[in-house]
Amino acid sequence: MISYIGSFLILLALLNASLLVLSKPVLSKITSGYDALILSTSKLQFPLVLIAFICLIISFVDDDFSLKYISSNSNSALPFFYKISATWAGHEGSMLLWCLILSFWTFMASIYSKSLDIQFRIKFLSVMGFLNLGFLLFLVFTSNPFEKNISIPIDGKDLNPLLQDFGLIVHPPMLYMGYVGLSVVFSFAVTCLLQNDFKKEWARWIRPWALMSWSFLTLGIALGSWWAYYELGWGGWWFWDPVENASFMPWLITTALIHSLITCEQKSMFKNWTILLSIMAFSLSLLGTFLVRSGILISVHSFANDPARGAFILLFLTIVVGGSLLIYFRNSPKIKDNISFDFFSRESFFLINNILLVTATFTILLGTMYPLFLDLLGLEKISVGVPYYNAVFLPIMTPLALLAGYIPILFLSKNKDKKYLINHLFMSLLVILFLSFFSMIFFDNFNFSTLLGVFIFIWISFNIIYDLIKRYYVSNTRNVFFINIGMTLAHLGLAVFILGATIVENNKIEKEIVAKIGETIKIKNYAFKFTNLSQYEGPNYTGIKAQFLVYENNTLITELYPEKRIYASNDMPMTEAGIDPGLSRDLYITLGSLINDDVWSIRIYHKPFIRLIWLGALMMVLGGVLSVLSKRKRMKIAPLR
Amino acid sequence: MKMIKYFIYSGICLLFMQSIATADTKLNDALYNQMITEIRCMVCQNQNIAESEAPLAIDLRNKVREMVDEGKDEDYIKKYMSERYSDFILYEPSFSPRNLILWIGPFLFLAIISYYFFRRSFKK
Repeated sequence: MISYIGSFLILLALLNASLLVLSKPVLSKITSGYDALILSTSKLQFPLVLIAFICLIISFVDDDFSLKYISSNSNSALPFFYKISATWAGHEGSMLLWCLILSFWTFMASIYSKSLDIQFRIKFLSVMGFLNLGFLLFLVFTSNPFEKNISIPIDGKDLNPLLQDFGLIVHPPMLYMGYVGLSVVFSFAVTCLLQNDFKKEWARWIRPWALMSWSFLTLGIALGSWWAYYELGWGGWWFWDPVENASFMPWLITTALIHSLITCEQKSMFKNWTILLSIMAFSLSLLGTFLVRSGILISVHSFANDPARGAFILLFLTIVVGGSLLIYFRNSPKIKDNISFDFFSRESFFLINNILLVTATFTILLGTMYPLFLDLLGLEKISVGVPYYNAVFLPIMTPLALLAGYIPILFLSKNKDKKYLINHLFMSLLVILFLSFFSMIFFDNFNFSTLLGVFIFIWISFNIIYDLIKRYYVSNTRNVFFINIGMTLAHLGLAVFILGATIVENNKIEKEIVAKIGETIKIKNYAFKFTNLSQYEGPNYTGIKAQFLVYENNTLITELYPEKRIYASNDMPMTEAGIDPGLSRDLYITLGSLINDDVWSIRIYHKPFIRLIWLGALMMVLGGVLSVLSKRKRMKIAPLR
Repeated sequence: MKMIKYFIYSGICLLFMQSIATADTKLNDALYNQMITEIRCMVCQNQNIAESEAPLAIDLRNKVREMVDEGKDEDYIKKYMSERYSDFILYEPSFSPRNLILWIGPFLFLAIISYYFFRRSFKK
């Protein structure tokens, strides 16, 4: 019964979206009240899809196996919270979540766009409506979560065991908030093109939206990385998997966008470039969706795919990307854009930032698509993985990281006193080099990459904090802290991330050994004693649990319980790692396979400072959110016209 | 200034000495660990043989261990793998004409886009 309401509401939402799209081109010729219709339909979209989504959740909780989607993604024995999260764990449900979030952003855009010119606002919301319509059509025709089973099964299959986990409950919604938030930026850019203009105030209006999407993307990616780390059982945090790349590309472009928007707002420069970045950011998130959903990729994410879906998304992608680029090349020459500046200027360094970020994105795109092209051409298949990105991506990103610390130094003095700048640069380099070398005594495995990572960390954080203090003294108002704290925190986050990533990648210890109960394995000053092995029954699986006593310098610090689980629905054994987290190191044990009798293969990892990776990401998220808040406060001081 | 020169010089020396000292003892293990992360498990969904517990991955790990213990180097192991399982097994694409665009593409892109922007911006 509930599911019928859901179905009906989806159709209503489809109708509502059509109305939103067609109002401007069709109704404007008949009646003058079409703008009120656009404003109300753009708000109505959200409650319609929300209730449909709630209907799906209720159907999951009620074990309504008459629905195909539920019977293939849930099971009566599934714990309650996983029944709820299963709503968006499969393809159909996650597309409904996508539509829900899209309607949410449309709702927000409709509410907060009062300051925009009415004609602009109407066109802008219509473009958002078009995106809503496209995704709802996709949902209804290729992936309807309310589709019925022909015969009702007694019980459902199960939720993929990998996805029965907290990380997965939160990872997709956060990521989608980011992906779909970019649709606001995209629609805005397209509207600018339609209006043949991109005003300073508009740049100021759109920046918080870009920042919000960026923060959500960062959080979503970080959660995915954290989840992969503890759930997949191999202790990695980034694999350059095509699907990870698909989320990383829009992130990089959005990072470029939030920087170029500053120049746009302050100097009225790079207008066309900013518009192009906005289009690229959303196009790349659509491309990501296409790659994941069409099943042309081999990846740990490739679940529930179907050629018809691929064809639909490809068509939609072509219309959206092709259409917007067409408008771009037709209309962008009409937008007056002034880009001439000195080499030693802020603009110039923002440009270098943008060039490097776009190149980095291109590199990932090339690495992701190249094997596919070779495959299409019928040539031998190749793999593009970690070694490629280490060799190509890192050399492009390293100057960017150095730049992040250099800009504050460059703008310390307003009169650009060259001698002062050079002195300061030299002195700070010296201090930072000394500190970097000094910190090397804490690592027993010295190498150049670690040194570089530590150097970049100190370099960025030293300069960015110095910059904040300096700004405070120059302007002498407390407000400076509030305005700049977001930016400062985000850049510090980057520094912390780089520190964690380089240390763990260059100093981790990974041991793969065979052991039986009673044996002790030693790594550094840690000893792991394998003391027990027991079998137990979980709600929907059978588990084998090992017990390890962990000693640090001969004192017991913790007990770890790595597990092996066999789910009733799935023959593949799942590993649950035993992890002792810590800011300075993680100890990580997984149970491999049974060799014979009671001898097990076991992996033990020592991961120094791995937590800094996610801590850094969280700092970036917080920085992004604080920037939005301070932006809003500043906007209240100087309202838009 | 002299002080500074000494300082930097000794820093660089320290760097080299340290890396030479640690290089030798860890070499075997490091090569093994590096190789198993760069070889793809052919029967899995994009996992390397270090991560996978599939029988093929275990076999390949043992094979790598064997070759490392025999003193074979990275090139030999890679060649051995790609000859038997095609280039698909290596996560590092080879520097061959087929992969030319893949390897030089990013740097070419960087050169073109930088040229375009800086020429436009500073022409005045």
